[in-house]
Order: sequence, then C-alpha cells, then structure tokens
Amino acid sequence: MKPSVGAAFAAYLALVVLPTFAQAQQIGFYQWVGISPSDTDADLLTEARERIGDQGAFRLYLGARFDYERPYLAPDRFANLDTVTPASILTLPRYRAVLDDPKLSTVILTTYTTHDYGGGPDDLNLLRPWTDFERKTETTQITALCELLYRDFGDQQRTIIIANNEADEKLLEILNYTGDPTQALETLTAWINTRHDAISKVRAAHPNAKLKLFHAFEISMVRLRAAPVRDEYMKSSSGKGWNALEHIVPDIRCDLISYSSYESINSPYDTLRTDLPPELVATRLRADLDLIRDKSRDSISDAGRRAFGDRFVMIGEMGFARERFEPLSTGGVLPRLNYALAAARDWGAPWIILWQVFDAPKLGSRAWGWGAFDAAGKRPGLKAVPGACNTVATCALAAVESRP
Amino acid sequence: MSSYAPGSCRNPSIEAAEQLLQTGVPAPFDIVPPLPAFLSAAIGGITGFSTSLCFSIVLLAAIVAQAAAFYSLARPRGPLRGGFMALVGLFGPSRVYLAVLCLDAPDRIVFWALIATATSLRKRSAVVAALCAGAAVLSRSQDFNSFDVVALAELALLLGLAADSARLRLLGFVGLALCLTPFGAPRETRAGLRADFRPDLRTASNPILRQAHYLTISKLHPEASLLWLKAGAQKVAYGPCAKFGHALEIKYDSMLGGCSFDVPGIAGDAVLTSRRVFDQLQPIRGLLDIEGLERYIRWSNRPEAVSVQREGNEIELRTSLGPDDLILVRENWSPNWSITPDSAKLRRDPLGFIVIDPERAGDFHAALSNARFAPTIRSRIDETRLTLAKFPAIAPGSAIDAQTFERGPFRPEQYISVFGRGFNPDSTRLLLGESRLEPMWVGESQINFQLPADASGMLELRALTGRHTSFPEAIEVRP
Repeated sequence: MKPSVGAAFAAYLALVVLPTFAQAQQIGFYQWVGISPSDTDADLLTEARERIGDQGAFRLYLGARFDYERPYLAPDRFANLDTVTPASILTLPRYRAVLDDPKLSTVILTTYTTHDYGGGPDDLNLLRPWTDFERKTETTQITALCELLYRDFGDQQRTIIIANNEADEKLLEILNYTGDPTQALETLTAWINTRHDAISKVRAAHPNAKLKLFHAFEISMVRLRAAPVRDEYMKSSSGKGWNALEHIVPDIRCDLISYSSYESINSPYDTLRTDLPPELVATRLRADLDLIRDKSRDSISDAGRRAFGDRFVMIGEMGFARERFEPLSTGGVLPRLNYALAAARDWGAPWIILWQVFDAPKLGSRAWGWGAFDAAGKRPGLKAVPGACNTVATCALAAVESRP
Repeated sequence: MSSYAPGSCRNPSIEAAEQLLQTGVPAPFDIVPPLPAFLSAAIGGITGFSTSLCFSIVLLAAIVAQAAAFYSLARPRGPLRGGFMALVGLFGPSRVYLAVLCLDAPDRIVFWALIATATSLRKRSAVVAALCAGAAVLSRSQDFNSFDVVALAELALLLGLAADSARLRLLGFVGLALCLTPFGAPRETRAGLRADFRPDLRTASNPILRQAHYLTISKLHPEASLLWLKAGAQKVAYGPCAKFGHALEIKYDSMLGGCSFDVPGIAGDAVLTSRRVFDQLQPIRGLLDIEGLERYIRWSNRPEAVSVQREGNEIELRTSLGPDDLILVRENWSPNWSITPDSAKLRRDPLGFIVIDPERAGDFHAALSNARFAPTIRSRIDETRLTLAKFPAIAPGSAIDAQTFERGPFRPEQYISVFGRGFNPDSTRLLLGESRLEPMWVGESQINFQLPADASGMLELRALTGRHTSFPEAIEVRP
C-alpha cells in the first residue's frame, strides 16, 4: 500500500521533529578545580552546586586527579576510599548530593577511569598503547558506574551524560609525549569505543528506565589541528596535522558531541585577534557548530539520533576570562557571552555549559578569571549589556527566557 | 616554620638542624644548612653525642672562629672591643655562608682574603691593591653584586677602625655595625636572613636551584621567577607579595613584607616523564632563559606520580612503566648515586635532578642509594654561574611572508617576518644557518628580513643578541 502524504508527515513528526525538541535546551555550569569562597565551610562541589540556582544542568569532574575537598594532585586525595573508581567516588556524600539534587535535571559527569600506577590512584594512562588491560579497566569501571546510576536513579526523569574532557588536548598530550600520531589516534579511538560499548550495553539492559543516560564525546578543535612545529606538537592553523573531529570522530560511536568552544569564541584561528566586534563570536560559533555536525553525523548512535535529531552537538564549555576580555575596547566579557549564548541557543544545542561557577586558582597564565563568582563569593563586576544582563548568571537566565 | 620540602631531608643532620631551629636558638638561620648540619652529623657519628648537641658544638665553634678572625684583622681598641667582637661573632658567619653557599661565589672568599691581607699590612699599596680587586669584582655585569658593594664598604670601614684617629675609629665602628646587621645589608641578604625565605636543603645543595632561589626572593624578573618556581617543583614558594600576587594564590601573609604562595600542579617527588622530550631538552642557559624553562616545565610537570619511599640514604621507587616513560626523581644528582637493578641507567636533567631510564616497560621496582649523606652533598653539577642575560626567542612557526602573511616554504630574496620576544631593536641580529643576516627592521617582538639569493633547503634561523641566541626555528627555502 502506498503511504499517504499525511501518514508520511506524521511519521516525520514522530521520528524526527518531535524527538528533536523533546530535549529542552538547558544552560548550566561547570565546576572543575576552583577556589571556594572564604565565607563558607562547604566543599567546592557543594558550594558550586548550591550557587548555580535553578539553571538545572551541572557538570563536574569524576576521576582520581582531584577531589573537590583537596587541591589538584594532593597526595591524600580520596584517602578514605578503599578503591578509587568513578562509581566509588560517586558514593562520597558531596558527589552523591549532586545526583540527589532535585533542581538538577541534567548532570554531566566528566568521567575518567582510574588505576594505581605506583603513586596512588590516577586517571587511566592514555599515553600508552591501548592493550587488553586498558580495555578491561575501562569496560569494568564504566559498566559499574552505569549500573550504579540505573540502580539508584533509573526511575527518575533526569538525564546523566558521561563525557570526556577535550579529546584534542589529550591528543596533543599523547603526541608530545610519544611523538607517534598513529598510536595517539588508535588509543583515543579505542578508548572512546570501549567506553561507548560499555554504556550502550548497560543502557540496553534497562529499556524501561526513566533515566536517560548518554555518552558525549568532547572535542575542542574544529579548524585547528595538532601539528609538529619545531620539535613540539602545537595547535596550528596551517591545515596540516590531526584533530579529533577529522581523525577520531569518523571511527567512533557516541550519542552526542560535546564542543568545548574556545576556538570559536575566544581565539579565532584565522586572525588570532581577540579584540574584534562581539557579534563576530556568534558568526564563528554558528559556522563551527554546522561544521561539527556535518563531520560527525555518521558517528551518532541510534539513541543519540532519537534523542537529539539533528541537534546532537552540545556546548561542553563556554566562557571568557575577565583578565583578557573585560579590558578590550570592543566590549568586555558580557557582550561576547551574550552573543555566544544566543548563537548556541538559536542553533539548537541541547545543553550549553558555562565555565565555571568559581574561579580557578591562579596558574601564572594571563587568561584568568572565568568564574561566575570570585574567591570572595561575589559576582565579579563586569560591564553590563544594556537592557539585557549585568552578570554571567543573569546573561544565562536572559538567554533562557528569551528563547524563541 | 620549616620550609623544607617534604621528604627531602630524611637524615640525621637535617633532623638535627630542624630540631635546633624549633628550640628557638637565637642563631642566624642561614648558617644552618648544609655545611654545619653535615658536620654535626659527622661528629655525632664519631662521638655518639646527640645530633642536636653536635650541631650546637659546630655552631659555637663557627661563631668563635669568626670572631677571632675578625678580631685579629681589625684589632679594635678601647671600649669598642667587646661590642665589636659580639657583632662580628653574631653576623660574620652568616656572611661567609651567603658568599659561598647561597650566592655560590667562592671567589668572594678570595676577595675577603685580599681585604684581610691589606688591612693587616696597613700599607697604602696593599690597600690600593685590595680596592682594585674589589672594583674588579664589582665591575662584573649580570651578577648579584650588592653583596660585593657591602663587602667593599666593610673594607673601608675596617680601615677606619684601624686608624689612629678616635673619630675615624668611631665612624668605622658605626658603619661596620650598619653593614653587618640585617638592616644594613642588601635586600637579597636581608631576605636570606628571614626564615621563610631560606632555601630548602635540596635547593641549597644545588647550584642551579640556589641561584634561582635568590632570583625568586628578589623583586626582580617576575616572569622568569615564576617559571623557576614551577621548574624547581616546590609546592610552596616564598617571595615578595607584589611579585607573584597576580599569578599565584597567596597562601599565607607573613606580615613581614613577604608572602608564601601555592605553586600548583606538582604531583610529587618522582613522576613519569617522556623519553622523547627528555632527549630534546637542552641545558638551561641562564636565569632568564624563559624558553628553556618553559620547555623544561612542559617535560617535568607531569601528573603521573611514582611511589617514593625514603629510608636514610635510600630512595625506593615503585611504578608501572609504559614504553615511552622515564622517571624524574626530584633529588640532586651526583655520581655517588647507584641504582638497583643496575640495568636501569641514571641520567641528569637540566636542573640537576636525577632521571632514571628503566630501558623497559612494565612493573618497575628500584632502589636508589648514595654512600654519602645524599641530601646534604653539594650536587656535582655544572657550577657555572647562570647569567642574568635575556635570551631572544622566536615563536615556533611564526615565520611568514612579510606582505601576504603566508607561511613557508619561502623563496630566495623573499621578505620574511618572524615574531617572538626579547628582541633588542639596537642589537638583535639574525643567523641563517651559520651566516649572519642583517635584518631590515627589528622591534621588540618582530624582525623583518630578506632571504639571501643563494638560500636553499631547510635552514635554521636564530635571533642573536650579544652572545646569546634563540632556539633555532626551521624554515624551508625552495629556489
């Protein structure tokens, strides 16, 4: 029987359009390493979670390199855990409280499996060739994490995303450590596919769960590539070299792409000039989101297609350093943030995650001051966008409220 | 409050030094590490006395010896004698320590010997010779010479003390008192007298780190100082508040004109590092070698920690190695170190730390041992004074066509711009291969030049300021 036009349209609506908009857009905040405000006794994670208000999405790091109660690489981090894995870290009250928080309908876990190489628990070492040991470690720990999530939150209407942190940064790290592009690409590809297989299998075992569990693959280079310059690998706009979008995404499976968007909004690869009109931020971001979508369409899983349709690229990180951008003659942080938020929102990114709730510690670099709150727990004074917003948080809120 | 890095001082002499400091003995701290501590350990080993008692004996002997030396030198007269002896007794040893161990300048001892000779001879020709020697020392550029300024002033004042005129003697005494007290000393000396600013033992025993330490506690060169803090891998650093306050989190304000800072990203005393990058590292060329320090930090500041256990003069290491891994142990290298298994090789990194090349992958268990008191032994690494000269640096990949901004390959006679830092418009030139190239224009961060007509192939371009060159930047020229 020849299907009618009406039936075809209904099928189109059911399969493509409606699922696309089933996932409401959310703007949320990230908290990585940071400085807890001096007026609180709470740990950084708890304080960050409580400060973000009703944004509804929150992203955190779940791995062995740091704990939110102790500094990065502190020798006694997680000393009170018998074994350190993503699942065991998640049993700690401060981590558990994030998932128990009814305000947060989406939690993004930047997850790294762990192993003790001698100096205490550490992230799985991706600087080495991928072997059966790495495969088993990744599979076992990601499976355990997913099982825990379904067991404890499977009956809740919420979304949890398991993501990596900027695969391109890891690609550069491996290239510089080993000098072997083939090994770097093979290791990262095998890592992500192992992770996706583990997540998919647990998800398939819980077909009736209300919990939506997704796997995001995060990239940070779109047009730039990691290329040898002198005797080091660096980000290069020469068109030569490798990046995750071109050389890893075609060989992996994931549910959505997470884009850490600094190449588009902070450091335009073509001019290397930051002091440009803020509206150009939106132009570049839109073009880059289109490019990412085109390059990664075939790598999105069925679960990802059903959930996100054609809008399977989220913004995993977005932010502007006060020190670098606020003094610019073309406008400070907020006008740029406003344009970037509007562009990502209008493009249809399912989540837009702002970097970050609290400032990171000063590291001696010039680009500093990314937090919505400073070390005193106050909102930093930024030049307002007339008629729109005057802080990072109000700009985020305005972007949600003015959603078309 | 001790500033020793955890785990860097596990032997009796150091424990003795720390115990003594904790008792509040009113001694100038900077005669503590490393020589007196080492001597006290040796005496303790022979006599069986407690290490704290041995240390006190060494300290007392040092003070008495210095006082006697100064007394015989200046021969003060009348009522000034007692005060003068007390003064030189208290502060003299600290000056010797600063000269030899902190400033890493044993030539100061020669200078002081000349002073002594000239003064004791009381002959005009000898005095003139000593002053000339002093002027020669002071005329050296790129060096901390405020120490020498004070030493030279001391010479003049000692001569005043030895004079027949009572007024001159009084003037000499007051002047010498000012010079010898911390208030009259140059800033880096004053800073050195503050307990929080003393170098830890590992730093004091390493000529490169020791020189860098005195740069970091000075007010000078914040960018290079910050890199040294990271390269030296100390979790907590001390320095002028304003110098690092913009770049590091202030941990503790001493209320005495200095601050302590958290230096982030240090994983531990031993970490896994890249063999590939290590093989490309070059010696640190000077205290302001920004590019060299940045390369070193990228190599050494890794998060992959190795298990480290110290027992006396042994360091036990356990880890699981990948095929590209070396182990950086932040302990001063010396030829007295040995390692078990002996299939592993010991190497030295540009800062003078130990690098272990296991030459295999998989589980690795090794023991480093040193027949001597390892942490107190002065590292037998390059004793050359690090220059304070600035090194030009060409930014990697920055060579472009001066008109179209296109990257290479380039043509002969093409106009090229390179970018970087540390260029001097008056004196920076270029080297293409081994040939000098006259630039058309030099700014502080940009150099424009024309390629020679006969240029061809892969060529190394270096910026040259005085005797100091940048790291080479490779450019390709196709006829």
